[in-house]
Amino acid sequence: MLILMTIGVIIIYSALTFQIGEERHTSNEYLKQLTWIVISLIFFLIIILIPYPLFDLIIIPAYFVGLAMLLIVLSMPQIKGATRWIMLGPFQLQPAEFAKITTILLLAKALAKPYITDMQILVRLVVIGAPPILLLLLQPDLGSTVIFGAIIFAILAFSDLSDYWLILTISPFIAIATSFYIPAFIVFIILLILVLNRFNLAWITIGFTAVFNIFIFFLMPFIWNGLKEYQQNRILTFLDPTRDPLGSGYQAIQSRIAIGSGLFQGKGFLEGTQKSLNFLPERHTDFVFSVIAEEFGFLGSMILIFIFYFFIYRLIRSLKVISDKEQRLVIMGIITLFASQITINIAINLGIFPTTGLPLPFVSYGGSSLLANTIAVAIIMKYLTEKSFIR
Amino acid sequence: MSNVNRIKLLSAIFIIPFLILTVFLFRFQILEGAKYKRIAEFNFVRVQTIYPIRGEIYDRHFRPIAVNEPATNLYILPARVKDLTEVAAFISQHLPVTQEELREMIHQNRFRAYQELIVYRNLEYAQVVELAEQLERYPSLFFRTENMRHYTRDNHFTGYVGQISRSEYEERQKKRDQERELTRIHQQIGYSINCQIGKTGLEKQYEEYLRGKNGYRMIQVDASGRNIRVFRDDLDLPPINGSDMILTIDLKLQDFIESIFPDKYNGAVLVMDTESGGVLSYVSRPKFDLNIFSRTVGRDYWSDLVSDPSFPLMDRITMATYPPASTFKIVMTAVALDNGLIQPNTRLARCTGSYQYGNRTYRCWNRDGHGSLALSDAIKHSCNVYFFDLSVRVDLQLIDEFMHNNYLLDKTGIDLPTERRGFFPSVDWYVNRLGSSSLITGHKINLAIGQGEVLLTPLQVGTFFNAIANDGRIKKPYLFSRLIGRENDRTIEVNPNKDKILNISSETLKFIQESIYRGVNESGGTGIGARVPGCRVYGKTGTAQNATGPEPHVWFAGYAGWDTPEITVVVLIENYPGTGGSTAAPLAGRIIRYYQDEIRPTNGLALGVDHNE
Repeated sequence: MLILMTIGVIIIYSALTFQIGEERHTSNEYLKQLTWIVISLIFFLIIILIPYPLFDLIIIPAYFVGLAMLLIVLSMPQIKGATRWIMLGPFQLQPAEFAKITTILLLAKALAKPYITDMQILVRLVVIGAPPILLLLLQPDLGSTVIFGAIIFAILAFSDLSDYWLILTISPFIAIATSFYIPAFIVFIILLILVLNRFNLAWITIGFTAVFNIFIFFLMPFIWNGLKEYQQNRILTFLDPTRDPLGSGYQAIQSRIAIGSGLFQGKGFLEGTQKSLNFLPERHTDFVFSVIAEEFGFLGSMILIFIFYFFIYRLIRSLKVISDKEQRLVIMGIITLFASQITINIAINLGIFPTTGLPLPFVSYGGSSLLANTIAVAIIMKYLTEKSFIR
Repeated sequence: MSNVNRIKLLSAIFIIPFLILTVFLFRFQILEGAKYKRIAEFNFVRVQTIYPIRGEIYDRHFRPIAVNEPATNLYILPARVKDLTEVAAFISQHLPVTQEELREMIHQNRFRAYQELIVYRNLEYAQVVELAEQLERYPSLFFRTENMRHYTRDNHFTGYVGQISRSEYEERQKKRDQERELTRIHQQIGYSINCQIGKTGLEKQYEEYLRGKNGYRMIQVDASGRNIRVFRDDLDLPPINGSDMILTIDLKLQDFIESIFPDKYNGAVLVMDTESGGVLSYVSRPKFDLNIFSRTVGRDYWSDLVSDPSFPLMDRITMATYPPASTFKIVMTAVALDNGLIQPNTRLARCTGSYQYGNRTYRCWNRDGHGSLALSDAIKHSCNVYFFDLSVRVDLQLIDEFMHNNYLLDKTGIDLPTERRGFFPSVDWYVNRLGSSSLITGHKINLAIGQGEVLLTPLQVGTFFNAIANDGRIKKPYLFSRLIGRENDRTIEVNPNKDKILNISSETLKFIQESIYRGVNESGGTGIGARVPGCRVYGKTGTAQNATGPEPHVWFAGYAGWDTPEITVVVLIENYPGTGGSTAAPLAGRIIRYYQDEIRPTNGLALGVDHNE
């Protein structure tokens, strides 16, 4: 984690350094990031040191604080056109980052109850999971919404929910996704019926599920036409960034040029050229990977990807020693959080995933993301400490 | 499934996306790396913004007022600068841009090294030739031919365009980001730091329509200029040029008024189409060279303009307030009649050339005196004594209420970005200033003839007289007639409010109309100079003593018509040796006569149809 943070500061320094003639100008963001690292480490220690019962008590309040922050942020003045930040004097907080963790904690707590029925799991899932997702969609923060979806799916898959309920739950979402393309939807319905049949369910259940999904399919055009034009545009651009060629689509193109031109060895520290293009305004935040890939080449990017995988692998290994169901669900959620953020961010940088605002954990500039991610790691470390197994 | 197996499975699942990313990295950086490296080195793939052509401004008969002309501008690309000192020295040697100015400009944009910056606008041909010879040594500098605004007439209504300021730029940027977040589609309206933007007048008011929308072109060429097509190339967006704008102004009339306005004097002339409120002529003196702002304004010229004691930048029609002088007697008449304080035939103090109140003597403009007059004759002769005596009988509160009830102090709502309010001293204001209300009457006597603290803009006076001509319907004055060109189907509502109505009874209005007609057309009337054979001219003169000089401001405010009133004219000349009757009224008369002989026959359909189409 510390290694990643250090890489982050160096890259932010490089990303915001410009050469004009013989002069070199560096923006001071790297110093701010250093400050945030110190703050994050202090929180890391606090999380580890607070007694476990106390920590357990604050899970529910923390969830509501997270929700409240998401609510407050909607009424906040816009920064860069979006309402994602809460202003706290000189600092800006991005509550979405914290809400992810508080929701994981509460969801795990609620779903880990012994002898829980399938229905109870689903009800609790909706009650806890839906509010933050709705608030995120209102912001709108599609990146975080996608991550949330992945986390909830992972926790669900790891919970005591029966496999067929799992399939029933996610089938409507697949129906919505495939409703844009009729052949895909037909294949999906056939597959759904075949899979459900294997669970030896009553034909009435299978039939009902199929009809329900087909109903959703026919409902989609009506919902679509009910949306305002800008909302439609936003969804279309989300699915196909080249619709906005000069905005996010162009960012993706420039980012790929930067990455590609890094070749095997890279251009060397501070030697990147594409970063100076003002078409990459988020070069020190969401597109920081492209700066790394340009300056340190394939070799450097591979090392970074390896470090990230090793980091994920270590988190997975912690499941070996943790046997508590709730803690396992939390760890699973956090692993998914990191893995999805890392891979989606890099995929955006490579231009193979639609551009949505999403930072690279520990490396991108941004205090909220750094602090939230540090807390997430601290929670897993806390579980391990409880077990007296610090590895 | 055992715990250990589960962990192994999870590790395997999570490695898949990382492997996919590795594959793509390998492809882009190793397999296709050479291609991207080439693109990156020469920066061949870039988006070029195509700026729209700004809409031009024409008068009602399509005579050009503000047009575009090609100009050569010099740009600098900071990222390509090798030696800033050398470049700065080179520029300062050939152009009036100091090294510090250039350094400051580059420093402000130091985190956007690939943003082109404009160094100097509208180079002379000789300068271009001189620079072009040496430009090869400075790869960071280049010329670009772009449109420059040219104004065919110096005037105060079009305003001017100038380079966007940092604060304006940031404000627009913020707005653009907000809209972009809403739609997720790149907004085409964006401004770059080099853009020109409407700074004042109509250029500012209608910036949105005049400006148009940016277009974009993605350029993908290799060193020999061939299209390399790395990425899809159907993303270009053509610019949408700004719409041309037709004004209500009649340039021929405007030119005529400019030509007869006394040289070396300051003032304003406003001519309005009575029925619609459309402005036909908008003259404010002194003038200044509007075209200078399309160039890079020299500091000297700017400071000269700002420090000039005659304030040439000030639009005297909307931004200057004057004591309305005797034109204000109309207000006094209306207040007195509508409150039943006097009747039209009431004779007040006999005019002997002066009026005694307390131990002060107030003079009539006619030292010989007018004798005993009825109200209508007092207006015709503009007898001060009658109105001095009247003012003593009228409560100040009543006049104050009248001013507010008839929107006389409000902004008229003309479609220009800046306009001043009028001022009328209330009772409270006097109490605050003088300490008691006992001294008010003395001031009120002065107010009765439009002197002292009451201040109105020529536009407010014009709008008031226009309303009298319209039997009480207050028309909002406006300059914008319609858009033509690409988006000409769009109608902009300039006059969205329903007409306001003067709070004057119809009998009183009739009486006023009759009196100001007599003032122009009967011998002995002060406005006789404005008389035009074959035309019914109504009007009131005014001569305001003031603190700005020994000579008075002279006024004429009135309207003229044939079957019905057609044009409303306000003339104001600052510090002119003469009176409203001897100078302003004849000037108005010449304007009305010119209108009758030269403008009215050519009007055809142009008049009055602007908004009904």
